Amino acid sequence: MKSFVQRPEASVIICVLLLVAFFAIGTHGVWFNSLPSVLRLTAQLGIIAIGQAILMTGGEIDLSVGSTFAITGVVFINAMEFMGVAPAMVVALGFSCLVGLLNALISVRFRVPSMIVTLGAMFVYRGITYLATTGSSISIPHELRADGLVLLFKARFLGVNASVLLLVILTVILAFILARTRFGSHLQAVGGNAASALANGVSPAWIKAKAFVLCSFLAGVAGVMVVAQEGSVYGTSGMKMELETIAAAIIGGCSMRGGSGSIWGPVLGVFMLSSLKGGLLLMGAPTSWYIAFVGAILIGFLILSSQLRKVVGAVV
Amino acid sequence: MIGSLLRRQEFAVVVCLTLLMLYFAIITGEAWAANLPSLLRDVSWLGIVVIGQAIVIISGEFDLSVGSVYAFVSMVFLMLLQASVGPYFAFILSLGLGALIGFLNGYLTWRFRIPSLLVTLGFLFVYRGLVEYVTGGQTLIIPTDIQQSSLIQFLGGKFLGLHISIYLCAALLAFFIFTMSKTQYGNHVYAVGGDLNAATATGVPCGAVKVRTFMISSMLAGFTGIITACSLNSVSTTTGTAMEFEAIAATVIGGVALLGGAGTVWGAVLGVFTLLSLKHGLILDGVNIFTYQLLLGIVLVSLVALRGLLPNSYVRT
Repeated sequence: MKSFVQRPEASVIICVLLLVAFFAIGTHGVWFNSLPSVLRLTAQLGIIAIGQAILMTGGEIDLSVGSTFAITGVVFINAMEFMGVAPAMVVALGFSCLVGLLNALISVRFRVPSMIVTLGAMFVYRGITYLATTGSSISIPHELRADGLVLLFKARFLGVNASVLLLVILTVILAFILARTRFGSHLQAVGGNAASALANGVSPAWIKAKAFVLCSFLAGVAGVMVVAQEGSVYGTSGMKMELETIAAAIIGGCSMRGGSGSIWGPVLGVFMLSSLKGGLLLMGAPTSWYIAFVGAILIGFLILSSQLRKVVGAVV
Repeated sequence: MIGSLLRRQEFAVVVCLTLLMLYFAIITGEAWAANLPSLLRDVSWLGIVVIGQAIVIISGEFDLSVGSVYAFVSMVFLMLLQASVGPYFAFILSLGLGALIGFLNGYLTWRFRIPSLLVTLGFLFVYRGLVEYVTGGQTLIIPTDIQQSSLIQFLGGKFLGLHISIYLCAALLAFFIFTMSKTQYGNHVYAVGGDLNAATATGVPCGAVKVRTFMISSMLAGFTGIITACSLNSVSTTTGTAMEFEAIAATVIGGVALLGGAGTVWGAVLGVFTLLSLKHGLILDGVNIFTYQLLLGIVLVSLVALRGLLPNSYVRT
């Protein structure tokens, strides 16, 4: 029992269970019908939250994920007009990796705090997205909408949306990477104490660069996925995502100071936020309640976890 | 003399601002001069918020909730007016609310040792949600009979062709420059932000200092909200969104160290000036306004990166 409470994900699991029970009873079971749309919402934000969680484990933070998400969609749509869907997807994902590489380069080489670098990147890519969409939106050309790859993202396997499946696969892979591979333990070492990691022969710069690229890449994956599903990208796509993913990562057991983190905890955190959104709508509450609840839950979590830390002595 | 000027963190922003203003003054000519009062008004609005943000960042913390507090306090001010509470009483109550919000931010940060970035992120959501819930997407308007009240006429009015908010910003700036450089409290803020353990060891009441910086920040954000409400006679749901990012960008451009302990209030306000000269200049120049965000990002990152490369940069950024 004690080892369960000590896990950083303990509080989010309890909260998700309580929330599901609350909505299931409160709406007399109607809530379960909305589960597919809640899961779709979870998939979009969850993939990005995984990246944010990895970066936060390494002791850095990415405020540009929302803008990266949007601009990858813009690149994807613009590229597919020239070269077809599959190469465009490769180009778009490659572009998102470049975004991460640039963040990493400036942050590591010039020793600029990642918060500032990614804040700047957030402005830059948002500006380009606005320019490219001329303030409104751009869409996939009609003749390409029936392309196999686009339809693949809309497809359902075993009654589950493809995006949900993708989220599950990515969660499993990255949870494995964080827990069982050399990169994963190096990442936690660097996040915990960069100086002693360096003293033990782990290069913080290199590990952090990988984490930055991974984070932007995952934001790009979500961007491509959402464009394929919804067919268009807006000037305002992905705004506030940086705040929501950070909130989800913290709720899911990541530490703001780095060094310890979780992959499936943040995904559960996103699930919690999404089911809150869906559940409140079903119960007839105004949508604005959702935002206020997110804030209240975040603050509640922070206080709770700081108290838990004292009681059980867990390393959070 | 010149050497010490060059070494100052604010040097970059002074150069940047001068060049920007020269550039746009030459490009757009008379239109630039005619636009100056409205530029100054916008600078004073964001500037008052940034004074608070700069003090919080110097003390080693962040306040992401300023945009939401700005909207929330001005909304409460308007609701009090609509409930026919007298304008002066409503003003005092709203400022008190700002102080309370700041106290909560600071208390939770200090008492539970939670990073302030996260506490204020939480409150950003909470107050924005409340604003959206109460306004329901509508714009609140000050009742016409109350619009004539002396306080609202004063706060939203002009003096010698310039908005009152400009004089208020200048007065607050002067007050906080004095506070930060000449008083014990200012000294404590730098000490707490520079090295918390050393400050504690030398007997600085760190908790009280931090809580007070948060109270100042929230009160100033709320005060700006009230001024803009008086000036525009209304508050809309989306007012102040993304303000926290602009405030942090301006503060950092103005040479305040992101990890605390160094920087000045006037540098941060110059940062606001730079940011908004760029925005207004681009609009006057007929450049697509979306370019502004792009340039802002580049200016922000390159200034901070440059500072890291320059020799003598003994100050942490």
